[in-house]
Amino acid sequence: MGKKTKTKKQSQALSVPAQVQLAEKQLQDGRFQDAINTLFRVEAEFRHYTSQGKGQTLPPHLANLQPTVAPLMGQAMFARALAAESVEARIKDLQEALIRTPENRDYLLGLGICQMLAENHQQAWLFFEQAQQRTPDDPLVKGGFILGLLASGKTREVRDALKALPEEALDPRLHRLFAMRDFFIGNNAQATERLRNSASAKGSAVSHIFDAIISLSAGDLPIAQQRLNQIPTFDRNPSTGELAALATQFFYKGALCFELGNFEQAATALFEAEDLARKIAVNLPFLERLAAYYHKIAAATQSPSNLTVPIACWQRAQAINAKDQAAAANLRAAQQVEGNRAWREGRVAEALEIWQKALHLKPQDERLLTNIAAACEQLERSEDAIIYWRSLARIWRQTLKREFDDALKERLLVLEKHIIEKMMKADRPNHEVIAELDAALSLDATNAETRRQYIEFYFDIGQPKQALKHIEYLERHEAESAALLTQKGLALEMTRKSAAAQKCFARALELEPHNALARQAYIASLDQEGQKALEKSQYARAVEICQKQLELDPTLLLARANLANIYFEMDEAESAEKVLQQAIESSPDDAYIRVTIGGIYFSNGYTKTAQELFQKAEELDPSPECLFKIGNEYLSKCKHQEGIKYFERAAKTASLDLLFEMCLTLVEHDDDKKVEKSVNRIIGLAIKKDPSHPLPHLIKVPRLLIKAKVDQAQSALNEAERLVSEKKEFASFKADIDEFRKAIKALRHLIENTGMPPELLGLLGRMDLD
Amino acid sequence: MKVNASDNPYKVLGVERQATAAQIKQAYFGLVREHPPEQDPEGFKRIRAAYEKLRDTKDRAQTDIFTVDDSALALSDIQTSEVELPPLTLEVMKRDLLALEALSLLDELQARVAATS
Repeated sequence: MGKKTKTKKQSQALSVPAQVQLAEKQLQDGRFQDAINTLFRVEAEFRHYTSQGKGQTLPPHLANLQPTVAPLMGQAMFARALAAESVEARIKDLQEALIRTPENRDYLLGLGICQMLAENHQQAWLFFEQAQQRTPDDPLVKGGFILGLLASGKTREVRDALKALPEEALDPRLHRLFAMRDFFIGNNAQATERLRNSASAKGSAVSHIFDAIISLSAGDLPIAQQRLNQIPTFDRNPSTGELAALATQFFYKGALCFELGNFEQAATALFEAEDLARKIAVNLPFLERLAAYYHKIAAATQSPSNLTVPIACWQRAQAINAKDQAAAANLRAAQQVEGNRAWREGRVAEALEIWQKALHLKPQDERLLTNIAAACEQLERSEDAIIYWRSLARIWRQTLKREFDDALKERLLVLEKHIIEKMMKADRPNHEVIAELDAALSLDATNAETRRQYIEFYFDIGQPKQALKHIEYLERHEAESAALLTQKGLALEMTRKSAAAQKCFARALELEPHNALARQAYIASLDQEGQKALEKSQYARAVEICQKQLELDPTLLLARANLANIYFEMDEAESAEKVLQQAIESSPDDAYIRVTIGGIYFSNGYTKTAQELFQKAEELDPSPECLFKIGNEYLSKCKHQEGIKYFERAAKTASLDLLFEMCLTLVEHDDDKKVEKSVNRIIGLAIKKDPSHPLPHLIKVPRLLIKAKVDQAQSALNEAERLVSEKKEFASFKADIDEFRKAIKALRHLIENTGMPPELLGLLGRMDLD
Repeated sequence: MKVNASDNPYKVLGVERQATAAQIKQAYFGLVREHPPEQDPEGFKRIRAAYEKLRDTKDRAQTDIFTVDDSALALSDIQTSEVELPPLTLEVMKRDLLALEALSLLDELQARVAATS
């Protein structure tokens, strides 16, 4: 663009003679479009002079120049014509060239040829005749002239013209044209003889195909076939004419194969013919016959087990004529059949691809949409499945609007339900899910399934008030049910209407005493209430609540624990002990209950009782898990020494996961040196148990950073990183590694730039890491 | 929901997708007579499962939507084109040959122009 503008500006600034010089240079350089543009401006300048009253005559220097401009423009137009993409563009340019240089032989010849290609034979002949009159001895002109005569049906004139020429003047083209003349008047034998006797005519691609056509026309099919099967080779890139001849040869080969019933070979040859023909900027006559062949071949070769050739034929027929409805319909049907076959044979991905292609041709095809969606589900491509199901749903909705149909409505409701479920699972945007829900509801406002989906959705996105609307609708239209009451209770709970929620849960349990969800929800609601009561020191109320919880679930240890703690708080130790004793009696062999209860005693200052319970628990269950739990109780009360003892005993036989849990529990208390040593020992055990696990090394890193032991922290991190890279299952630790890397970098920076003592840095590190 | 090619209840019962409820029922009973549970328990199970998917309007709707229609019926949808194949007459061959001669002439003209420019 810049170059053009520059050129335009350049030439505009130049004088006319300079512009003419520029145009000559541009033409020499092959930039004929630029040359044309420059010369148009020059021509405009000349017109300007002669029409604007500035004088009827040009100034002398321009008058001298004027005669050179037209021929130059002619040359430029001619050059552009030869490079043009279409016959029409060529004709237009050649006409312009001829206007400027009417006598030019090549322009007349070129125009004649292009008119021939446009099948305006009479016009062509006129131009050839003019060229002939000007340069009768030019071999190309002679050839054009004879060709023009032949094309216009003047066969006698052709004979006379050729006979008038001496033998030595007959070049290969003229020989061939002579033979063509014989062929056109039905004298095949003569044509063949002339062609084959002329050694010079034989060599060309056109002669080759001509020879084959003569045999074909004469009914000599074996010879024709032989000729057509001989594909000429080229030692360089074939010219346009040679490509056209080759394309035509393939066409006739295909046509002959068709006549002989070799339909697949016919298809191959015709495809080749078309592909070659499309490479040249001329519409060869045989192209308009291809579509018919494609349809016939498709009809002849289709079978339920193989539609490859028919599909290819219909695709090409459709490419030739986008309005070919038969091709489009057949293609769609065939693709569906192919897709179906692929599906039956278990080639699901292939079936999907084929059906999707078919869908392009008819985007509203319900069968295809269904198949595609189902195939997407099979391939676990949920997002794609949703798209296609939604398209199908849209079509059915539109159909229902036009004409109500019960069965269709039923199917649509089922489909909507499925779509909504999938969309919710796929976390589709809320507005999309709501749109689909609304569409389903508008179809049938009484549909309970849809209402239930609304409820589930609104719960999912945390909009309990919206969920309540639909719950209340169902309440009005359905019989009372525990499930619905529980949902209502949950919604009310979420909107902080605990009392109302609890009423719902209670009623639900009346209807279904074993409804686990209602029970859990009720207990959870009471829990919330209990917490609030304790915060306000409303102990009596808190006790009531715990008792209510225990009514609902006598095995609820948490309720007993809470109740005991409240009694202790109220200095009613006896009541507390009674509650705790009941817990133990309810599961006398449960070690964990004893540990938990021991913890409660411990928290409330009953150390001895706690220890007895821990001991009993250990007798019941000496497993490392139980020992860990006991140790944890001690640690939580800052009894580090006792806690460590239990942890170290547990560590001897603990699993790797338990070792990790112990480490992570201990590091919370490791400002105590004893705990620190224990952590180190347990980390050592974990590494020994599984040297390939990165977590023990990662646990070291923050502890080392707190002490500002940066290099050691780096080593530990490096080791962790190495281990993470070795197994895919540890990929989740990469985020931690990145964080620690940043922390180490920050700490190094602090050390290097602040000169702070390590202990202080460690303190800062602890604060940061905490 | 996964749907397998072999789960098609229509195929199991040997009926078309457009079959009426009565036709489906008839097909089911016919197959049950051929595959009674005491003689062919697996076959009967399959037939029964297929029937369950189609007997109820709602179940049938579910099946219709989520079962791939993989029938070869579509082949019957293929239409025969009414386009006639133009015979290879002398006129047709003439057109082809004249076009080729014209292009051959154009090649030579271009070559000559290129040689002189």
